[in-house]
Amino acid sequence: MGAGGQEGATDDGVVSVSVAPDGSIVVGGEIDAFTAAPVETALERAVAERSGDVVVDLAGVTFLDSGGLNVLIRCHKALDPTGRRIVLRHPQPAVRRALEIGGVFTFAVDDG
Amino acid sequence: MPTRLAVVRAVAAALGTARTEDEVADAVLNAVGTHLDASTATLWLLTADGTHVVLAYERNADPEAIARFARIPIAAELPGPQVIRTGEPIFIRSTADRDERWPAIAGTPTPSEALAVLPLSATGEALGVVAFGFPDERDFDGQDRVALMAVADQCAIALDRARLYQAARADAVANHLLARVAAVGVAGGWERAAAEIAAVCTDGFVDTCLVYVREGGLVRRVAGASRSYPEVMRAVVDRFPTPISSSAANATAIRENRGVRIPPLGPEAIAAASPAAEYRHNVGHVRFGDGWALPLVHAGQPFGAMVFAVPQGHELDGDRLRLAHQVAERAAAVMRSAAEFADHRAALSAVHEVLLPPGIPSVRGFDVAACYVPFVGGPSVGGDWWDVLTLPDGRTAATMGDVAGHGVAPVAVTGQLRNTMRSRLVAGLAPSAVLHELSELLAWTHPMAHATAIVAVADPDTGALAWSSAGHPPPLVTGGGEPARFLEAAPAPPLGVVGREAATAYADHETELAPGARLHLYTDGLVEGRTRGIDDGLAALAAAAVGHDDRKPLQVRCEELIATLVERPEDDICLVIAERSVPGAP
Repeated sequence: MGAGGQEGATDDGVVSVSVAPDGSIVVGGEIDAFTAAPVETALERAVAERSGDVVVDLAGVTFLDSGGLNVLIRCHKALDPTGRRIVLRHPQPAVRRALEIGGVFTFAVDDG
Repeated sequence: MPTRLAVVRAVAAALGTARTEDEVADAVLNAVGTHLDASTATLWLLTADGTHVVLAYERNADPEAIARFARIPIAAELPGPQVIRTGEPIFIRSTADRDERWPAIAGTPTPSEALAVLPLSATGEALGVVAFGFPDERDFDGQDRVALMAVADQCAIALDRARLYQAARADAVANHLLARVAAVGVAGGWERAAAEIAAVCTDGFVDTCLVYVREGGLVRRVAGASRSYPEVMRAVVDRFPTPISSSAANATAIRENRGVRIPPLGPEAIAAASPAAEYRHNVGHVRFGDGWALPLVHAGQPFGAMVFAVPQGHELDGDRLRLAHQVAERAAAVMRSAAEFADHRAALSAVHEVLLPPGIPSVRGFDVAACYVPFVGGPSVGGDWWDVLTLPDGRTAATMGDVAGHGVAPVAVTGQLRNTMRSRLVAGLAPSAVLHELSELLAWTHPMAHATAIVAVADPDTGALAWSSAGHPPPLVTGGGEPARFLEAAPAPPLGVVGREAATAYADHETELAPGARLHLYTDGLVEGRTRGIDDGLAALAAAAVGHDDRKPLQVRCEELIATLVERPEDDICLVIAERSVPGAP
């Protein structure tokens, strides 16, 4: 768990969420409709309480389905009117594939 | 007495195969008239609380004596209690001898003259007594006494073993019963679940089980099963719903949310229950031992009651009563989820009528199959849609989509998208233009919602296929003499995601369907699963679609494809297959 883990950090064994010192949201585990709630909470806080783009580090995510995509899409929809963007970092190949098929990179920034 | 050793051996052999208390009693009492020259036999058992001796089994005993001594306090000055208290046998030479030693029972009729009253104890614990009566006066010499004591000892050991066996068996039976109740299916509705639970309960637990629910001011019986009185289940009781305010046990159990004991049912109780002649005619012969009415409770509120009754002469107490409580608890949960399931199904079918085509549309040049498998385990209903229609220019259009959103009833959005797509396609818009308009519309009307969608338009004469996708899983094309392929192009965002690039987000893509080729449109529920990534899911879909038996009707293949890929749906699943007809084929 990152140094910023005090701020709404979650790790229920299936999905983990924490905020890194640079403000990026570090997500790990399997994200689907049944597990996405803590991720969504962290994203909503970032949208509401911070300024600038919302950066999500997906390196630790091993599985992402439409339930997980829906969370990212909603985050984008909340950011878009203010001119901010969602930036996705370090997805594993299978997760990258799900993001591509879902059209997420058409609105989210692909930061490698 | 015949060879005494032979008697003991014979009884011991009979006891060796006795497993239950009944079988033990039979083995001992049957010795009367076979191995022993006794004329009567009685077996008395100490109650669990140790306060009484109960006449449990008898052979040839006098009916008056049976009635009078069915249950005796342990402190009574009588032979049986005394034997239990002291652990020593009592031998009575004659009736005169008895009357002199126990004046309290002087004159009680008995078919025997001499009597041996023997303690039954195992591992130091008193279980009861067994008494053998003999037709003539008898002095009970030393060998007599040794032989009779040996029979009693064998009997006690067998009884002790039978109790252990029955206790173990009761545990197993209880667990099995509870498992069977919990396993009653909920798909058939709560009344059917109640009927199945009642049937399970009368299969080895109680004689009769009735299930009641409260409906306003009345308590109505909704299910019942009975081993001894199945005809009563079909007869009059249904026509006599009980007012909730009545003192009847079932009404009281519901009103006061507690178990209510029902006294043994006999002629007097029946007469008191209802003066109706029809009622007495139908129920007058019914006899029960103990009964209990236990409330069926959901979220702290009783919504019904279960009545359990055991045969005349039996009790429903202790472990068995606890088990009845556990059964009622499980039954309430099962009936509740069956009711919720039915509500959910009703909502779903209403949704289907609005959202989905009433049947498989018939279109020129294509054989079409479609399946919609709703996910019934969760609250979101009706997020997926599919549609197939013939356009004014003779081409066939197919649309499919999957709505997601917070605080939005996906069903409303789903209906709006499907119908608007229809009208824009009929107006002649290209697939990409349809998606673009719908995305703007959705962002405007339901800002919190988004949807993946796909639109495909095919020419039945040329096989030309135009399609456009909004973040939807890629269509699969199989057959037609070509390898399976997914239709993938530059990704585009879901509908409702109107960003800076929205104006150019959607593009039209072209391909061709060979004669016999099959186009598969589906929602992500078909290829997603918690254990596999999207590519694994796509590969499994392609393999299953290619491997399918072409001789089966397309609709059957459609259903089988879903069954092959998805064991247990975690989401709504939609699948449409359009197979391009082979020109000249029948």
